[in-house]
Amino acid sequence: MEDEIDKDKLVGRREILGMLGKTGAAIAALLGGGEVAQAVVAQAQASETPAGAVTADPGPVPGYDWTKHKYAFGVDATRCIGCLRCAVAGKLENNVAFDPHHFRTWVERYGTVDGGETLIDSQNDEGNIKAAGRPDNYRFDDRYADANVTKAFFVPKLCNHCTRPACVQVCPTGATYKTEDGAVLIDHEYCIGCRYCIQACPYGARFFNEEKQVTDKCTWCYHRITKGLNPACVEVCPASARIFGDLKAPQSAIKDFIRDNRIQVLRPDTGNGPNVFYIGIDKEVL
Amino acid sequence: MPKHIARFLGLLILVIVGAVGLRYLFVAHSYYKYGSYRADSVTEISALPVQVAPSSYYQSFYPDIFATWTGGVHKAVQCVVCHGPLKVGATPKLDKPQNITELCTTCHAAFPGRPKSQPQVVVLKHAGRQVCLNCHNPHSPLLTSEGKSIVEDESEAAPGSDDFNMADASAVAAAPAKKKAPVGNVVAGQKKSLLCLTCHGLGNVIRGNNAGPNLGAQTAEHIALELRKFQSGKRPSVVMGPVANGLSSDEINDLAAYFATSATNKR
Amino acid sequence: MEQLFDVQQYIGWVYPNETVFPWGVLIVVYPYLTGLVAGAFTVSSLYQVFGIERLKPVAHFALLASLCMMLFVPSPLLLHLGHPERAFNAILTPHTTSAMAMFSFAAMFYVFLLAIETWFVFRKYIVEQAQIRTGIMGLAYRVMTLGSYDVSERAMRADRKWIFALAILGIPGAHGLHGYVGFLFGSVKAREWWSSDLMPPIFLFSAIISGTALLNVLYVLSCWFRRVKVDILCLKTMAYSLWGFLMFALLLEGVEIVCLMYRGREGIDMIMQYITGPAYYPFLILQLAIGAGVPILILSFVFWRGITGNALVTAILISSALVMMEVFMMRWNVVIGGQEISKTGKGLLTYAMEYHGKEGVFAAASVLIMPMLLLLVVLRILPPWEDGKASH
Repeated sequence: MEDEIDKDKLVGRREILGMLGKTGAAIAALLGGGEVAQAVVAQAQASETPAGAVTADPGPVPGYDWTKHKYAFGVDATRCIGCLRCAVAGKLENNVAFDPHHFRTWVERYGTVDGGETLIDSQNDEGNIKAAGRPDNYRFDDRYADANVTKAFFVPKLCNHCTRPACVQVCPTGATYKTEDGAVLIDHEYCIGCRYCIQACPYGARFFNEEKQVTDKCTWCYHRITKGLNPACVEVCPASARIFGDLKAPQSAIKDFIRDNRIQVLRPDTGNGPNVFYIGIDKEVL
Repeated sequence: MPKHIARFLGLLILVIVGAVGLRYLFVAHSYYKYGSYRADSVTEISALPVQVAPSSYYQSFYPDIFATWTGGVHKAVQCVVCHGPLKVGATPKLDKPQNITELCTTCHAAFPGRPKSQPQVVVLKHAGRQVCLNCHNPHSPLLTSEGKSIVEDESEAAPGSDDFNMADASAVAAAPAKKKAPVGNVVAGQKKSLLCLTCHGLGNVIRGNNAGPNLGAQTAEHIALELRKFQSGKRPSVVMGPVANGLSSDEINDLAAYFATSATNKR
Repeated sequence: MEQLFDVQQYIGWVYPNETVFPWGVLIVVYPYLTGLVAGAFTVSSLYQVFGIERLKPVAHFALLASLCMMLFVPSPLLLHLGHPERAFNAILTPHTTSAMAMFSFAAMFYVFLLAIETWFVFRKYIVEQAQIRTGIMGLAYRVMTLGSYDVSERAMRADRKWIFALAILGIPGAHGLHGYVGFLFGSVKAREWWSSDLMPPIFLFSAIISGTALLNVLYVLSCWFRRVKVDILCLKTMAYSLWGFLMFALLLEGVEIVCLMYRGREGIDMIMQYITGPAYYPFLILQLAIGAGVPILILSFVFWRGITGNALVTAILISSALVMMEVFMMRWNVVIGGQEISKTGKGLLTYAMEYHGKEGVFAAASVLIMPMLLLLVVLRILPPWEDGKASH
């Protein structure tokens, strides 16, 4: 047993050190850390691109080659506990208004009482707003406490970063676009605020940022993933219900997720080609 | 061609040339670099500040708490969940959570829809008026020694609570001194574990059919104890009873040792 | 603190981000205005291209009305935009897959076409005025002549050729413009209520009827103001075309809604609940029954009985007003209705109109009134009437 524990610790330490090597240093550099940290970041990035290899244009992000990544997102709905830390983290990380009508990511609750019709609610629901109690918190109320629940589950939702995004198709200015590494982003300095993209998104992932008067949505925390970090919602999920990773990496959590599960996407009939893959969702989920 | 038409055409050409010229002047310089968008905006977006720090960031500032946290069952719950966004400074001071019960029940209130693998309690039944922190250390929430004595005092008074067997589990886990910790063979346990994986899965490595709780992130003590309870019938179960009955005491220890290895516990 | 957004009430299940409506009453006004433009232009080209001489009394008036409204078409959009100062981005760097970006080019082309055609039509008058008038107005007329006072028969023949060519070009221009507005909605696959191949023709025909109806009303009003006798033949010809196009529009709208219900795809339960519930009055009663059915009955009746004189004028006036209301309600039911039915197909929202502010009812109403005021001014500068007198 002693041996086991020691081994545990060692592995844990090594994992943490590995994590630190790239992400921790990136954070340190970001916070204006010293030269050492920056050197570590440079090292990490040097190891990414083999020396001497003449690569094509590495893209517009300094120190990061967007042709070498292709991101995807997995959601294991069977693990979601509906704690809504993801919704809070998404807002915190991206300065989204803390009210129940603007979400980068949110969670839906599906419930069937006495085998009847499936009832769905989310953070815009009166009961849930009341249960949260204050605007900067989100919480599901206990509405099914005394009911005979035949089936209930939670489904996290976010922007699907589609392969053929309807929102990008309709944008008149090119203020929203798909990057080489798979994220659909919005140029807040270029958006004219016509809101056509909000109409075009079949998933309701987009919202209007009234403060900036432009459209806003989940970016998979592009500023984090280009530094090697996970999106904020993945970072905080205590139930490992959210999986994020790089399809071009030799090994990644999302590749395992796609390989080991029969995955589904939402509304495949729209032809958008979503890149958020679900397992454990029911027929009502769309 | 009449003079007025010639002049009109001239004017039209002037307007068109002027418009094309103005467009040339006003198009953002990085616009068509990679496609129909401003390439600079990708740079701008990627340079936004990180607010939700990875927990590893805090390790050097709070090494003791960090070690407790990584060694406990709450290691999947990142610092930011309870302590708020990134704090910058020589020694980042984290927010102290205000309403502990509200915070804990965010994840642990019993709820239809929460997967079985999630420990859930009905607060009134589980703790009465006790505050969570009386018995639990939030960084490693299996029962503390104070908690253990409280549970022992109260377990006689109120037996058979029907909520998740968390009190049970933690009581035992926190009392390794009393009972001898099971020592098993990891390799033998791994061989034997194939049967379990169908229903329970294995951490993030293999996903089961979700019929049973996730065995990753469980301690060896807890797994061994529960298997023995199934064997003795103390914890009645149609499925697990016969399974446990087919196991020898050594096999139970092997399984427990295997499920507690880091390979299965990996997040 | 000023409230930045309105949250709409809902029943059933709607996405959290859906509770704030992206498009309000201004976007209702916008296709209504473009529809009036296209419809008025149709009437003018019926005379210019198809040579329907009976429409001569309103042909030039229709052109001016079309131009005045077209100049105000961008205003509801600019009021609606979050960043109107960036509006030119859509023209500087148009996104080629975006209906909206391409639309701005179609609209620009059409504004130019209208202005040029108007110039050719009124050139003779402009040259006359440039020689008579003095002062600021004289200067304005002289600038508009482009320095050429050539009104010889040869020059006028060239002008007529240009007018004919521009009018022909204007037909696909005006109708393409409005078909495009229909496409803007019809191509949104996220909303079952919009996503229909019939949207462009529906918008087109409702545009034609709204423009014709508007001209009927404006023409009769202008005759009253000028104390001239209404040209019954002209008015009746317009009423005939109104009747014909109205039949077509109603047919298309009917086919669309029947197809939608019969197809019965996911979310049809909510759509049925919507039609029989919140949309009962605005859609079934105001748009289809009173707005389209009643005018068809009135017009059919007066044509059948051969009613003429003041009774005919009154009947046409009433049906035209009703048709204008039906087209407005049609725009309302498309734009607002589409957003009231949730994308989830499991919930309905209720749009509560805003009154003040840049996207409120007052802004929308002024957007509709402004073109009429501009028309009053333009009528004094370029009188379209055959007697050549200004409108007073």
